[in-house]
Amino acid sequence: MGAEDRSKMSIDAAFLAPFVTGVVEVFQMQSGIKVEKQSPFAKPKGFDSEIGIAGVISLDSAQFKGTIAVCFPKQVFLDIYEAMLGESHSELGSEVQDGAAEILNMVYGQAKTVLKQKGFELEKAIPTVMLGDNMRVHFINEGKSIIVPFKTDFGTFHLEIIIQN
Amino acid sequence: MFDLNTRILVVDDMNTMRKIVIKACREIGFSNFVEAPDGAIAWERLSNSKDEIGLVISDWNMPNSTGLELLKNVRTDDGMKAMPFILLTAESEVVQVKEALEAGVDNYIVKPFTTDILKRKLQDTYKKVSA
Ligand SMILES: [Mg+2]
Repeated sequence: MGAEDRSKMSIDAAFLAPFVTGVVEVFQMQSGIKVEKQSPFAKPKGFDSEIGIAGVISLDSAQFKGTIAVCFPKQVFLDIYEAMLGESHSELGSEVQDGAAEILNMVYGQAKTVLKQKGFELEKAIPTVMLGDNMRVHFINEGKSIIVPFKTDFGTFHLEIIIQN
Repeated sequence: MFDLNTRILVVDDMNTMRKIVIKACREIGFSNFVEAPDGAIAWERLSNSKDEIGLVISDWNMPNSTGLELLKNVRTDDGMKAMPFILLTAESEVVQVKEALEAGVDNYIVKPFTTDILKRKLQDTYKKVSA
């Protein structure tokens, strides 16, 4: 690994950490769900995981151009939603979609505050929600991507950060 | 602490966040709620005296009309200026908090929060407004 690669790696790690902490804190505080961070990895070619729903934020700022997404298998998210709000749903309807957006909102708000202290300025951003197959299309060939899986009692979900600059 | 019969106006553009706030308030013992998705609709509800709202918990960032605008409306209205008002914010940015305090907010809560945090903030707010 060259010096340039190494510095790139550390910027990525510094950037990633507040999002990872954000996910853990948001879930624990807002829903009482214990989430356990697994080792992050660079997304390999052809990576495919079952994604039913994702909250997605696209950023186009001076220091970071890319996408941040929290991706869940359908049933995992439905179970998390129920634990968080006490409401049981069997489909990913608009109320449940709103939940995915709000979770990412909180994660982003947390991370943004921490990153600001480290000198990264991130803009205000509004998350969008993507369902099922749209996700895969959107995420193919989008540049360098880091995946952080999280384990819960309901199953695994992941955070994906796509870096375009 | 606030009377548990107090009717609380919960304002947030995100459906989920309104549910989260209401669920936490229910856990504390409240059961009387009115909801609004932005500051303008919240203002309509507040202005309708039949609603008899006794406490506002409002998001900061909302389309149409923000929580700060709602707060300013409340604080400049003769009949409502003493309304207990708590702002919810996704970011603990000093600038926002300072602006809210200057506009007369009683308390603020940074999202995410636990039921315990909400309870403590409600107790603090009650002490402040009934002092
Ligand atoms: Mg909002």
